[in-house]
Amino acid sequence: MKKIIIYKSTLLLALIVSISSCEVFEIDKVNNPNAADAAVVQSDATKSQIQGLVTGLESRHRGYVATTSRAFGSFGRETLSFRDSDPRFTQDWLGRALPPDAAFFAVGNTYNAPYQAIKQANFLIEAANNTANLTAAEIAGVEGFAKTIQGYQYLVPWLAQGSNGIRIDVSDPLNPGPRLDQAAALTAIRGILDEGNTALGNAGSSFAFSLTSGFAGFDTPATMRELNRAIAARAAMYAEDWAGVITALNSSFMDPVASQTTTTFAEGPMHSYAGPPDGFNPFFFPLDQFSTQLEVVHPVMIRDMLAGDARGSKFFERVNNPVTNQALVEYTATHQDGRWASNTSGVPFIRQEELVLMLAEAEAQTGGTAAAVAAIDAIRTVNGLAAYTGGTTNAELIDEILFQRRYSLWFEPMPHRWADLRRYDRLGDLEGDWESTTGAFIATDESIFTQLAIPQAEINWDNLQSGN
Amino acid sequence: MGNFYKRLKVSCIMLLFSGTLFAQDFTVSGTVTDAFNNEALAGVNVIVKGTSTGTITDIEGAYRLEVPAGSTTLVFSFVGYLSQEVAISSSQTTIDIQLEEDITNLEEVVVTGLASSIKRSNLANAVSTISAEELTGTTSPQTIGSAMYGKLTGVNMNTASGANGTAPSVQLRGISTVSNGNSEPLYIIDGVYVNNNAISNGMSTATGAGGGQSSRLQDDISTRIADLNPDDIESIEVLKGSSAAAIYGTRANAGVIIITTKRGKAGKTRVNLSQEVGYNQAVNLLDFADWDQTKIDTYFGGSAQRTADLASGRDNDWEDIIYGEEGLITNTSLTVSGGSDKTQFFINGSVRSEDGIIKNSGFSRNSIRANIDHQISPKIKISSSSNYVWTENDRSFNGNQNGTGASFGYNLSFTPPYADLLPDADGNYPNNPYFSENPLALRDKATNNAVVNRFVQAFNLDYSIWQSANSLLKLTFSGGLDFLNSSTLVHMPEDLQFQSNRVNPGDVFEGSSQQINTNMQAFLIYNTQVNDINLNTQIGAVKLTEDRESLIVRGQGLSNGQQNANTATIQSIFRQNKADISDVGLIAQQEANWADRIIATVGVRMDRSSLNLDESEFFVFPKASIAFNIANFDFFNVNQISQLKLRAAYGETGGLPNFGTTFTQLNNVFVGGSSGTTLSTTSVDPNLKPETAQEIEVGLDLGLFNGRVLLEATYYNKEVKDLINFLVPASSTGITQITINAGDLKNTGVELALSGSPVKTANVEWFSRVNYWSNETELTRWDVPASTNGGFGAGLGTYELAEGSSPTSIVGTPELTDGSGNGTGRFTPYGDAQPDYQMSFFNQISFLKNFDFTFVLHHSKGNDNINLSEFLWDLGGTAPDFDDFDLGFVDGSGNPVPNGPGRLAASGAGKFIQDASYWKLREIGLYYTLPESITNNAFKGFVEKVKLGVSGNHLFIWSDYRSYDPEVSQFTQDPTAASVEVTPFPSSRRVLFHLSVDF
Repeated sequence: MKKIIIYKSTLLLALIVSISSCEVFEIDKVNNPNAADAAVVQSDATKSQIQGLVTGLESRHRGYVATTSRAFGSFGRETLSFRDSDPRFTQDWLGRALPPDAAFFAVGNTYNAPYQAIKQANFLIEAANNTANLTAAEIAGVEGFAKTIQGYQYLVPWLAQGSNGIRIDVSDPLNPGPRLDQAAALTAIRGILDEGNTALGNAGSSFAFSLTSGFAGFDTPATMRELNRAIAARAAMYAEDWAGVITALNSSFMDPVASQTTTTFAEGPMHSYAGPPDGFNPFFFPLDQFSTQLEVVHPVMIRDMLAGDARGSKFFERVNNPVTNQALVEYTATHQDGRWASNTSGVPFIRQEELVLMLAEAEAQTGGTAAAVAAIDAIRTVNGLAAYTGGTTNAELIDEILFQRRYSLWFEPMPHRWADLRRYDRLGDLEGDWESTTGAFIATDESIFTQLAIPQAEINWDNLQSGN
Repeated sequence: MGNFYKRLKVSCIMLLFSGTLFAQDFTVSGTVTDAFNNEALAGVNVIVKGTSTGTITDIEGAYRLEVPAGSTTLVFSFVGYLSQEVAISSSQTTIDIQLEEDITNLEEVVVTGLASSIKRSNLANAVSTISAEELTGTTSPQTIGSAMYGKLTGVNMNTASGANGTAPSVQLRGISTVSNGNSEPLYIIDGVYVNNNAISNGMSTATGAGGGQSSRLQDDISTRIADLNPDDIESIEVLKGSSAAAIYGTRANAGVIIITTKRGKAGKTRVNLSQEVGYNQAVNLLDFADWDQTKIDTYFGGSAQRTADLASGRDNDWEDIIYGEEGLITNTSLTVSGGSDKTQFFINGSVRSEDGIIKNSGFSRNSIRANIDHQISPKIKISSSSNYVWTENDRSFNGNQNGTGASFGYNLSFTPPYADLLPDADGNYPNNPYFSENPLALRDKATNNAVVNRFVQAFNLDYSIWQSANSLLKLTFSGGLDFLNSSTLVHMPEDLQFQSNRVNPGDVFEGSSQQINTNMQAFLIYNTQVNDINLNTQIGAVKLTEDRESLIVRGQGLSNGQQNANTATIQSIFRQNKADISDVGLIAQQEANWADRIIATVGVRMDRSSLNLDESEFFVFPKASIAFNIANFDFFNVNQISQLKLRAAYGETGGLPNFGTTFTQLNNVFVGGSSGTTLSTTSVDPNLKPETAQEIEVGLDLGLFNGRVLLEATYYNKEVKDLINFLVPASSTGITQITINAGDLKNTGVELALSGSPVKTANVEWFSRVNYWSNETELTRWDVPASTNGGFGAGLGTYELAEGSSPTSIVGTPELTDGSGNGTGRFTPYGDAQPDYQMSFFNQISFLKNFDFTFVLHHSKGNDNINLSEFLWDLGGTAPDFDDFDLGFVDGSGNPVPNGPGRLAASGAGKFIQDASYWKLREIGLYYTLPESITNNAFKGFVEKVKLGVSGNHLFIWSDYRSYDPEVSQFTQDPTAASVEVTPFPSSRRVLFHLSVDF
């Protein structure tokens, strides 16, 4: 009996060994049939692979646009987000439910998308530095472009997070740097923009890659530097480094104030959309068509608008189809976003008009009253209003500039009005929720947000690292 | 390789061959009858014990058999009866036998592995078996899954949608994974590894469901097990845990469902024609709230539109208009089976057609099956099972949507009875001023259709290499394939309200998918009797492949009602996906049976798969089990106890990463007319392993009164180790998740089944079974931070994954705070999707000889749902109890507030989480078989048997849950986060009339 068992076990073992060495039991390595492996560009990337990553960065660069504009548009009472199918877009974003918590409704993309663009830029820089197929100047060109975009993208979470501060060193996913406080983070962002500027200075006369038509006019190292400086001016403005704003603007693509026109105001780089297989402009909605799902103009924008303001053309009146919303049943919205010619129109992310407004503010803050008034007048007259006749104290000028910024930069990608009022500690000026008893938006209430909460995944990571 | 087998064969023969002297043969004859009613039993197997010499009884129950000299024992066995062994000798040549009915199925042979089966009374696991009679004998189920409700212990089933042709999701002994796939068991039909994927169709983009706040797929599709015809099934065996399923290795973490189809039997050719006609209707319509001007003024701002519409006097019951159809069900089936001693066949053709309770919804299945067995020589037997199926499913438009109105339930939530939506005489549908779409236009014009062509083929070869008086060496080879071709069409014509306001009105998604699974396996089986110990050794190898390819094209901007994407203004490839998978497994198993007293098994499986990071690495899954049949020992002499079995089993299984998980890829993107690549936001731990489950199962089976009563009690502890899980880095790193092994979960549970025949007289036979089962799940290790999971965010109720708690626990706002009032990132707990326990009662009563009455009751207790339908009804003022006061809401000054506004004003997500316990009458049927005398007279012997019947399926629900059906799921494919309801397709009751004629 025992012998039989031993004998049979030996046989079994022998059989298993022989079967396992048989070819039919080998398995071939399966390569991903749906996409390329990330490793292929990590060393010795070809120029066309670098080009792919550059275009990929352009794609990541616009990832934040739709959600960021809608959420911050609601927080700053520029727009209301009407979604009959999910009332939280209206209610929660107007602050009806609860103040923002770590998992606040539908704002994750305002944080994640910019950081994914930053990640793509880091990945691109790494790939460019790890190939023999680019010259030193070409590498500098890639780096300059990537860091310019990074500087722009860091500002989005920096603005949303306010006093929470943000992380800047995010290159190692498992070992991110500390969360810097608000001021230190902004200094670091400005440093990244400056590095980009320097790199672009070493990039020769042309890039080794091409950009989409959204960057028309900013597609050489020299012109990309002008864009870099425009973004640097914005960062300097948030840092209240007014001299820095003026210096940066002088190297930017801003034309002299005196020569500004409607055309020059519109000039600036854009996020482009081409339709399938690309996406559509997320803000385009056919004019005055019935819908329960679109952004409407916040009524206070219409209420406060000056007569004759050409910027009123941004607000298209829905004559046949005013919109009501299940979450705000007593209120009927009358205007929609009317800025877009078609669903493939590009979305500008920084324009000359904003540069002129930044100049006005920096001059006003540094005692350059005449220059400030000249810039304000450019804004007013190009937009069909009479020249400025108000007072010229710092406070009066700032009042005027904030008012003009509200109409010039309405519903543009960065959180303009919300951030502007916070800069000047005037969040109390914001209108609150709709009050059914008076049939109006009440002046202010507890539903005004100061900033968003630190996202859940960030808190979790900190806890995980500290062993909590 | 070939040489090796030869050598093996030779050595085995050398090992086992012993000379046998053949003396004079002799003949035994007699009759076999039923011990209860003395009726002759035809087709009883009569075999000389330990040999393959045998015969079967004829129509009079008589048999006659030449037996070799020296034979000592005859074994009489017959399906449904307890077998008997009788001593014979050359002087004892007439033997009449009475067989006892096997009421509790002790004798049933249970398939337990890739190449082995065992008598139920010798099993060391609680393997549930459902026979054809239990499965489809009461009523006619639509799908295999829906036929299993209430008939198994240890299973939690859930049907996501009331749409005809929906397969329920099945979870055996709790969930077996958290984040890695859908925790559905492996389905094997006649040895073929069946494709049970759900094939995505673009629906969630067409309706906007996917554009909301959930990243989960919301295409409202069924898994493809729904294609297969339940009427073809002879039996279903369910290997619920790892201890029973270990031999299936790396794919068996969620259990295995082994399906055997019907086969022909030697003898007279049987022809059966059966016809069913019936209908389905909504089982539980809710009756939406009434309206008056005060309600409009109080809660809807005195809306002028509403005021005018109310004044018009229109009062449409939209719920009844949309869900009120009585859909016709017909099912015609023709079976021819029979054969000779050498060749048997079973051929079936069936045509099923079902209209749903919503106009233009329904399900059809046409199926052809040919199962053939042939004995080529005394040593070689082959069998083939072929099945071609065509199914068509119109699933209609239900569940979630965003901004399109393309969901009836969502739409009706906001559409009051005074809305003007009925089409005019020219067929023009007015726009719905209260939501994005006119639901009648959607129903009459839009399409959501899926057609599947499927071919399942199994092949099997048994070769008896060598045989002696007490030993047998056998080779079995089997192979099979499951080929599936699916075409889907989602079409939203340009004149729909929500399309007409788009830049390019009209939207169509045309999908096509080809998928093929293949399997091959070879086993060597050696069985020998050493004294009174039977030893069974098997070794084998298995290879599986899966190949999938799917393409969905999209067209936007259509004209003239065209559905062809080629005619669209904007044509795009919406999605293209491919997958290529292969697995290899090696198996060895040893069983030992000491005279049915002690039965022990040890085995091991080693698997490699291309789904693993290292495709060449083998993972090992051992098993061991032992059963003690105490009643079979000589010392045991309690006559009332016919079976007393103690059993214990241990086994391990695996769970592979999903296809694609192991790749860190570059995604292709398009921007402004250029194409580029972005780094994926997900990555993978380079040391990723498959999930492994380890289960210990212990049980007691107690059979009383000669098998008339059987109690089976089982306790199990199943631990899934190294859950494939996501480490979420700080989101600022631009990486959203890294796939790692980081957690364990534990399922513990009890399964009790008491079956028997409380009444058995000449006129009444009653068989009854009571099942009770409960399961508890806990995340025992969770190396990543607690996180919310699934649903639509904490504000509307979500699920939480955290160490020490159940992975199906439901949480929601408000966020919990620590001692100093700071947010903790954790939310308030409200409930659990998993039931506390379930029970079912199966009863079959035969009376007055020709009547059969059967019913199945099913109870689920303590499961909770996230009811977002009610939230939508409240928003639209349509909730059935909107104006009632029974929930006791009060305003700031203490005045009562009606339920609807009260719920809307209440803060926190707790209001959405509701108890969904239920009782359901799953099945009920009454059949009458025409007495033989009448049949013979009326049809002059041409017809053998005529059976008439009426049955009902899902006739009644008793539940306090405030919606159509407490069984819901917006996210079927999700193991942990499924119990979310968003205005699903209401479930229906089915009533059927049956006629079955045997020729």
